[in-house]
Amino acid sequence: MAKARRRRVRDTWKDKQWYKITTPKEFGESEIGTTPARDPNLLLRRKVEATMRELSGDFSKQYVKLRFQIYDVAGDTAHTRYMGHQVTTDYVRSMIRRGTTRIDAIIKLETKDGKNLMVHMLAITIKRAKSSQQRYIRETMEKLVREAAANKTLNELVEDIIKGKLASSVYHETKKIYPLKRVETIKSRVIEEK
Amino acid sequence: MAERKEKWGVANVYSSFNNTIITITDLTGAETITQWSGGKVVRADRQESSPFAAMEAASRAADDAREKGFTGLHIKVRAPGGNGPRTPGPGAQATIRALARAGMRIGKIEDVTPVPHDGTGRPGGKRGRRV
Repeated sequence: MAKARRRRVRDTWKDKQWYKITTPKEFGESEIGTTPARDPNLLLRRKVEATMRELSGDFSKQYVKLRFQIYDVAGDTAHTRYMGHQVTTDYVRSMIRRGTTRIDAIIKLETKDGKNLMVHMLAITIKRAKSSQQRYIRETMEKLVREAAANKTLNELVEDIIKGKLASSVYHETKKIYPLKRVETIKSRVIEEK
Repeated sequence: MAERKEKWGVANVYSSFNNTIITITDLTGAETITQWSGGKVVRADRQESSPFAAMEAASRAADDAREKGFTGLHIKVRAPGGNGPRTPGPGAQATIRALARAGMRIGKIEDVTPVPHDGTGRPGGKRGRRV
């Protein structure tokens, strides 16, 4: 029984073709990896994860994971689209210590070119902050991110997010409210319209 | 399937206190290359989660993957998570070691244990599990 089943699995494997997955234009269209499929249509909507280190060779950004989704297949290359990013949990955990406050702001926004994006900002204070200060910081973060998004296209905003420009500009504004250790954009997600 | 380049896959390792399951997939996670578990290599149920079983399963999984042209693996380790334990079981370490020993290149190793942002309570009730 087991043998027969095995042979069947092999057969489908031989049919499969390998497709190259490339990053979006904004990320230089470099190759992320390969994926096998029987039919190019099956490739659509598959997701790939890549760290910043793999894409840009920057070791200090190893903790940023970018997610891409395949939307188009041409020949044996599959083109992807930016779907979102996430900072690894162990990195977030390492920032949070006792006696500090973690302030999260989850912001749903619309960019200049009408794309919806969900952004999760995290601020970490040096000492424990009062809840009124926390609330004020959260509000300010939201306001700043919205302002930044309002006059940027999705691609520009994504670049700012993953290069940390958005986080640092928010940091310089919000640290006036209460001393902050770090501000980081931990998550972003492009919301598709159905 | 030319061998000119290295081909990467993902080894999804689920390691609980009762078993170790290794699923090797391609980078997207959509195509499964091979699946092995501790229960497939040992007879006794209580050994399913043992490091030995994990080692065996991992080396066989690595063989299968190599046969299909994979040279390197990224590893995603996962504990039961949810309202269960968040630390991977005894088989996790052994799996990673065995994959490396079997000649696969190891890329990034990541913990992907699902952690609830609050959900249902842990079983056992207020007074805990009474044995």
